[in-house]
Order: sequence, then C-alpha cells, then structure tokens
Amino acid sequence: MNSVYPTTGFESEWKAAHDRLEAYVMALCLTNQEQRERIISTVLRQAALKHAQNPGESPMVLAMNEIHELLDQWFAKIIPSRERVSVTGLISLFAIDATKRWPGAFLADEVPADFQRTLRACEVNAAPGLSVSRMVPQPFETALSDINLPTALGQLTKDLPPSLVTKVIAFVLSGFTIWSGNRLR
Amino acid sequence: MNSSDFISDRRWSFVILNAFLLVCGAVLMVARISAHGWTIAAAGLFVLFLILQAQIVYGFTLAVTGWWLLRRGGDPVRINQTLPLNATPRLLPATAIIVPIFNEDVSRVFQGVRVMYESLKATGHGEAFDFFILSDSADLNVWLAEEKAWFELCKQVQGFGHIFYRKRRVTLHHKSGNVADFCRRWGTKYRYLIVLDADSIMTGSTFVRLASLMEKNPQAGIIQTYSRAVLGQSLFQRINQFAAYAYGPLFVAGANFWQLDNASFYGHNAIIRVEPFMRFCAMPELPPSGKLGTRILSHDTVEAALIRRAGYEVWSDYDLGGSYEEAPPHLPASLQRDRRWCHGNMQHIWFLFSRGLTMPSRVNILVGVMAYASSPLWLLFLLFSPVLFIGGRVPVQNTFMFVCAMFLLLMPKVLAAQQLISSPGCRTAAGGRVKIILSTIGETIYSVILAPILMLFYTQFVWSSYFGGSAGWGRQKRTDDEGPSWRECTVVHLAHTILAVAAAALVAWLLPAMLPWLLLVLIGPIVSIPFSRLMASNRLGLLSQRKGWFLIPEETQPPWELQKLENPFESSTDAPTQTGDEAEDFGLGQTVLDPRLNSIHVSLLHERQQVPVRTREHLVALCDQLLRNGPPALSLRDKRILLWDADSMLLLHRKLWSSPAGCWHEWWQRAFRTYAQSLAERENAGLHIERGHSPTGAV
Repeated sequence: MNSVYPTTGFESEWKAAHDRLEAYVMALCLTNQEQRERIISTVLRQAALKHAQNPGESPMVLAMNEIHELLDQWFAKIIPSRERVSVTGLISLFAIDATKRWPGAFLADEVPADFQRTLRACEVNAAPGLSVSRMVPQPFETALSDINLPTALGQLTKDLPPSLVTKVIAFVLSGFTIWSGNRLR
Repeated sequence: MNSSDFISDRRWSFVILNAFLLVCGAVLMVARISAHGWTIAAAGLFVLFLILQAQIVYGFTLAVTGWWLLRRGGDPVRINQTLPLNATPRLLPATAIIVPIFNEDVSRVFQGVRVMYESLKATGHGEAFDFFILSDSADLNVWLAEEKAWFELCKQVQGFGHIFYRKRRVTLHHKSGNVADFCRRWGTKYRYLIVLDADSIMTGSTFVRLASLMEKNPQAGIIQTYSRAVLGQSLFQRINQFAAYAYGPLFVAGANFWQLDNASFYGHNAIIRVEPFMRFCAMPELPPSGKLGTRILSHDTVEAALIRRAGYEVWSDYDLGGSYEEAPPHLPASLQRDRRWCHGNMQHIWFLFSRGLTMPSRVNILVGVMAYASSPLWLLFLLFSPVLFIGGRVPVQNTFMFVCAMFLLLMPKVLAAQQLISSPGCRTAAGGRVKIILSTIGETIYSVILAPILMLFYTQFVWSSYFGGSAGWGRQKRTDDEGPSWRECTVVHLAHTILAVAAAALVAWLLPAMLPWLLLVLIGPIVSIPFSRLMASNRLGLLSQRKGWFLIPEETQPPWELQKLENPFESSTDAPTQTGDEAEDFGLGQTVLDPRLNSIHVSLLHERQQVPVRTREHLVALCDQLLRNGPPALSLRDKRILLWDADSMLLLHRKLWSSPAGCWHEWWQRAFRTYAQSLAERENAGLHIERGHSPTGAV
C-alpha cells in the first residue's frame, strides 16, 4: 500500500481516491485485510500510471474505473460465458459466501480450483425457465331464463328425487309445522 | 367415493331441515302479524323476516349438523378419508407454492416462507415443491427490501432453484391477475398449485398431504383447507381466533355434509389442479354496471364455481390441520378488509345468473353475497319492526319469537363448547372446562356488541359498492403493535354512536315498550368507540392469555413452525433503518450505493432487447438528474422507470462511486455517510472482518 507513489496529482486527491476505494472493497464484503490492501495497492498503482498519461482526470474516477475494470476482467476469466459478467459474478460470489469460505481468493491471480468450480456452478435465478402458455378468460354469459326452480333443485340434489326415508321425514316435519301453526293461531 | 343418490339424500335432508325451521318461524310471524292485521308495512316486514330467518336457520343447521357429525367421530364422506393418514406416494408431482404479496411486512413474509420451506424439507419431499413469491408491491422500498430478503433467504436455506421471486412490472387485476400471470409463465411446469396469502402458514406435512390427496383423487380440482387464525396478540384477534377454533369445526363439518364435492374456495391455503384451472378459471370481465366495476375483486368463489362447472370437484379438507393464517389486529383494520371483500362479494351477484353453474355453486355464491347484503336488510327490518309494537304493549309472541331467535343464534355456541369440553385433548388445550365456558360467554357478549356495529358498517359498504365507487386494493394491515388511537376510533365510529343515541332517544319517546328490545341492537354502536379501542389492546390480549381466557391449542402447545415464525427474519447485512428525508428513498439509495444490492437488483431485471437511442438518452438524463438533484427531485414514475432499467442502475452505481462527493446532491452525501458508517459498524462489530492490520490511509 505504502509502496504506491503517484508522480502526478495532489496528495489530497489520492487520499480521497484511496478512501473511496477502501469503502468500495469494504462494501464488496472482503473480509481479509491483507487481500484488501493488496487490491487497493494494485488498483491505485494502475490508476497512478493512467493519471501520469492523463493528469487532467480525477484520481478517484481513475481508481474506481480501474476497480470496475478489474472486476470485469477477473470474472470474465473465471466465468467466461455469462452476460453482464460482473453482476452475475458478484451475485454468485455473495451467494456462495466466497469471501468467507475462500478468504484471499477473490480478485487473486491464482484461485483455488474448488472455488472456481463452485462459482461456475452457482446459478442464481429468480425464476425457472419460462414455459409460456395461454389462460383465456371465459366469456361471461348470464341467462336468467336458464334458471328454473325444478332444474335448479335437480342440480342441487344431483337430478334425483329424494329417497323414501327423506320423503317420510319431510312428511312428518310438514305435519308438525301445520299442527303447531294451527295451535298458535 | 360417493354415489349420486347418496349425495342427493344428504342434500334433500339438509334442504328439508332448513325449510322446516324456516316454515316454523314463518308460522310464528304470520300469527303475530295476523293479530294486528296485515298492512303493506307488515307484508314487507314478513318478506324481510323470511330472508333473514333463512340465513339464521342456515347457520344453525350447519352447526347442528356439524356437531352431530363430530359427535359420531367425523363425517365418513370427506376427502381426507380417501387416503390413509400415513400414505404418501413415493414420488410427488411438481407442485408450486405461490405467495402473492402487495406491500406486506417483508420480514414476516420471508420468515413465513423460511419456516414452510424448512418444514417441507424435513418431510423428505421438499424436492417436489417450488416456492414463488409473486410481488405486486407498489412501494419502492418494500420492493427492494423483498429482493434483498429473497436473496438472503435462498442463501441461508440453500434455496436457490426452489425459492423464486417475481415482481410484476404492470400489476394488472390485483391478486387474480398475479396468479394468472404465474400460470401463463410457469403453470405448465407444475401439476398442482398451492395458493397462500402473505400471512398464511402451512406445515410441510400438510403440503405433502394435499398433493397426495390430489394424486389420489384425479377428479378433484380444488381442495380447500380450513385455515385457523393464530398468533393473535390483541384481544380482538384472540377472541376471533378462539371463535374460529371453537365454532369453526362445527360449521365447516356441517357445510361439508351438503356441499361434498361442491365446496367453497377461499382463495388461499388451498391446492389447485393447474391444467383445468388454466383452462376454465380465467376471470371474465363483468358486464358494466355502475360503480360495481367490471374486474372481479374476489376471485375465489367464482373460480370454484367455474372449475365445478367444468366437471371437477371442489372439496373442503376441514380436518387436515397444519393450515394457519393471521387475523386483522383490530376492528378498523378488519373493517378495511371487509370493505374490499364486500365489494367483491356484491359483484358475485352476477354469477348467480351465470350460465351453466351448478346449484350448490349458486348457493355458495348467495351465502357469500348475503354475508354482507343481509346487513341493510336487518336495518330495514329494524325500521319496519315498530309495526309489531303498535299499541304500546309487548305481545307474548314477541317474547317467544325472541327466545326462538336466541336459540337459533346461541345454540351453535353451546354445542361448540360442549364439543370442546367432551374431548379431553381439546379441553386441556383450551384451558379446561371452566375457562371454555367463560370464554364462550365472553365471546358471546363480544358478538352481541359487535354484530350491530358490523351491521351499520356493512350497510354502508353495500351502499358504496353500488353507488359510492371502488373499494380499491390497499395494503392489508396484519399487525399493529400500537393499535388505533382514541382519536382514530372516534373518527371511525362517532357517526354510528350519534345515530344510535338519537335512535334510542326517539324510541324512548315514541314507543317506550320497544326500547328494551332495541337496546340490544343499539348498545353496540353506542359503546363502539371504547369497545373498538379496548379490543385493539395488546395488553388486554396478553392479560386474557395469562388468565387462560380464549385459549387455543396453538397458544398452549404451539407447533414449531409457529414458534419459529415469531422470530424476525434475520439478514446478515441489515442496513440501518433510515429516518427523516432519506427514508422515503432509502431503498433506491441503498440499491444504487451497495454493490451487493445493486447486483441482486440488476440480475432480477429482465434483459431488454433493444432500447431506442432516444429512450436511452432520456434514461441517461434521468440518471444525471437523480445524482445531481437527489431522489426527492424525481417523480415516483421516473424513479420506477430507472429501477426497471438494468443499464441505468449499473450506470448509477458506477457513476456515484466514481465521482467526487462534491458532484453529488446533498441527499447522496448524507446517504453515503450513513452507508459508510454502517460498513464501519459492521466491521467494528467483527461480523466480517478478520482482525489483523489496522487500515492504513496514507498514500
């Protein structure tokens, strides 16, 4: 870290670039302090070289562009066939908890084979593959004439007349109702 | 499983029993009116009486039939009987469990999914089931929190590939549209679909059992479980969940007696056969009819009717267990939900006359409609009832009719208490004999006060469904630690209180003989403000629980799924809660700043084929505006446009991190400071960092 000595720009500018970079790698959940410093140094060194060629550019912009480029290149090397490689790479990295399980492997030149394998195998899909089909609304048909009481009662009771037992119960209950009605009157 | 004549006998006997009780009531009423002579008002009163009596008799018959069946050890004809309890096919077919959500409590939803996923995994059949969280959340913060929670959950339970998340860009047709959208995209991948609500919980064994029952009964289109209200904290919730526990089984068992293969569907905690559901149950548009609207708000009853029309059976598996939901925390929240349901049920009137439906389906629809439509009829009945008091004396028949009505209304409660007490397991779980009796009495008093309050509100809701516009589809309140304030309760209930006091004064002046009878109805609205406030109290709820009142087995012997549900959803990277100016756009700020959240969000967005140059220029300009002027300067629509565009979100992330703080709006400077502080705190807490060197800042 301390071995980076930019030849152009102001110290305050490089300090700001360093702080921003440090916050960013912290946000990437890098847990290994040594690894963090290694990445920051590498990125700042690259940014310093670019700043020497283009002193008008802000060191912070250069440093952040550099780390995004580093992420793109590193993920492209590990998981070459994916689209938006940094996005899918990062999400896979978080999904497998790589920074905890393989501390020091993220953004390293040499990565353990099992880490590479796990990262490549990791598929973070919010939904399964589409299997598009149709679900067409039924037309609404209203027909008051369709509903006549005998048919309706037939449907209610599966188109069958009541059995003898049910008829007897109905008869007894009807008789009781008429009797009680007369009594009340 | 049953022959047509068996079904026919059951339904006939149910119809006859109902008709008998209805005619008995009618005879009493005719005798009473005849004593005074028939007038137009008396005839109107008689018609109203018949309609309302039919509803009361229907409830009574259900409860008595259910009680009789339960006393005999349960109905022999029920879907759960078709498969031995320990029977499970070796391989279950692919089943999707969908959780449609709309601006819900993110922690509760994802903790619920976690619990159900783990419970399912423990059965050994987890591989056959996929969870889908289908979001229609309009609140940007909620949407982005859902994405984060989905990722965290999948990571924690190793659920990638089995737990999915989808956010609809265009939230057409509310929940039914959300379900239909799922079916169109992934329906053909699954044989069965289990629909849950945001507050639903089902155990793994219940999921497995439902899928097994569908396999066993290929004609079954829908199996509805009896989901019981649990986890109540306020007194309102606890009384309601006790009522559902104590009385519910009688009513559902009674309903199964006559409904059989034509049961009701409540839209959640149920399994559906996907193929016929997709073919026959897409919601039609209703004919234009004033304020009712053409889009169906409550889809469940209609779907059950449509799938039954297509020849598939709809069963209620009321004794399955392991199926739960949560009740609204207080009366105002419950009324908010009822307003929506009422509007939906009023739309169902159209389906009473829809071609080709079975008669039991029409009865189910009618029962749903009458749940609300009976309220204005009760109110009319009360307005007509002075006819019976002309002359200023209380006739004997009135007392007798009152006793009969009370018998019909209260007998189900008595039978339910008896049923609970007679079962040793239930008796212990509900706190013992004395507590069950006291709780039933307490619940009855509560119901007497609540019923007229609901009558007045439901009358308003029915009116507004036809004349006052849409009920909308707002977020449902499922928990409320504070409860409504006295002021809120006053705003909600004051008009009814004034109305009730005025009515009591008027009756006392004009028909004093009627006052004692009417007070039973008026007492509810008169005390509605303190009643609503006290019922919402969590403290009283807790006190009643400590005293052993209104206990349910899930409180005394909670299953581990419910115990675990009470823990908050844990996230390893919880961001600080934001207050003040930044709170409104907190989610957006975090998604732009945090590389992890940014990549989760971008990866969840669909790839856009080709964005026209002018659109891209517009998006870039919006990005600049967002960074330069801060999120509050952008409209909600513009923020949503940016959030839906993956390239814009990536651009924002890179631009923000690459530009000096001085270039940002003050809002972003504050957000960055808070964010950096949270990173530092996380590091200091030692959650992620390995202690070694101290950070060096020198260059």
